[in-house]
Amino acid sequence: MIMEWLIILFLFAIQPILRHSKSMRKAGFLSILLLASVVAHAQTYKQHPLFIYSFTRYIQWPDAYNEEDFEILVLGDSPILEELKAMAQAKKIGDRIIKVTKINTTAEIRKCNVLFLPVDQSGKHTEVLQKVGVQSILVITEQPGLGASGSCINFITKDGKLAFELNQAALTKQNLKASSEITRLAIMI
Amino acid sequence: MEKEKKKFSIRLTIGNKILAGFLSLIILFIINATIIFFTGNNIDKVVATSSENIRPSKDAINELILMVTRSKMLITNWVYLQSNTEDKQALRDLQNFDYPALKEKVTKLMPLWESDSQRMLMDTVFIKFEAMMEAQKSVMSQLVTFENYEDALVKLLAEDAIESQIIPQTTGIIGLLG
Repeated sequence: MIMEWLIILFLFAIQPILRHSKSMRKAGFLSILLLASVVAHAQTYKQHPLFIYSFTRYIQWPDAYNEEDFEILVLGDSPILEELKAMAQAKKIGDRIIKVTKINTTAEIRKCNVLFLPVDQSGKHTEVLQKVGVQSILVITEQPGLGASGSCINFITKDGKLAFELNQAALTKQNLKASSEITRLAIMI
Repeated sequence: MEKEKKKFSIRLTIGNKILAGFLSLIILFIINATIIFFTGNNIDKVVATSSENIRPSKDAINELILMVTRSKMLITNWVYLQSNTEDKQALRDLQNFDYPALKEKVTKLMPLWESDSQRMLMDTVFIKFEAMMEAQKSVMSQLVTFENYEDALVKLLAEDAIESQIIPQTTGIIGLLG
């Protein structure tokens, strides 16, 4: 909302330049639209790292998954990669370093702690779940309906705010345990 | 020559020897008394400094350490124990009354401290603790109503502030005071 107002103010400020010529006006509007879409897209991921970091505190992985670095895989290109990398630089999970890795195909899915499936990769959801199998990987998606379709956690927007669905059956299948603190805040499936 | 020998022999009579002995003892006694007097004075000064400056300063610093630790406990309770109104009021009192009173007490003692570095260190502690209290107030203002505690984003933000700001800042302040 603030960004939208800033863009309107910006448009108002550059009005004299845009009046100069038709082509300039067109180019100006296009670049502003582009800028607005980039800003809006990037902004949507500002809160995700906080949620994902909180999940690491309230979800318990089996011992075999607590030995090396805490690894988060992200399928495909997504602005969340930068946000997660910034989080990884600032925080640790106990003594463990957080490692964020981008993978390009579902074939690259391997033992890790979290697998994030960005919205534009949601079509690969079934394939991802098949590849993950019963490994203790927390599968996080962000497409309405994927929570009920087997993702452990699914980000949604509720009343204009970021919220998350938690699929208890999926967690049990992955041999992951969620504390009551997180189930209290989640939309349970 | 013989006259001089005679004079010398007179001076070394037994009476003179005893007198000289007594005189030496008296001089030694006076020196000893002077040393005792000055040592006593010094002890008196140290005791006075200790009771007027060092001990109250040490007590005040211990009180400050306890206050920093207590504020950490109270803000953690604020986030995790929604209905604990007693601790919530205690945190408000700590910020509004207890800390200003203790700061005033320490500030009055600071001019009595010998070293400038100690005074500078205490100023740093005040600045850091006040910054931490601002972070606490921000958390307190976000978690007020029942709905606030049910809002996942607000709650997780508050928990993150406890873990990533308040706990490390508390450790830092106690490290400076310790």
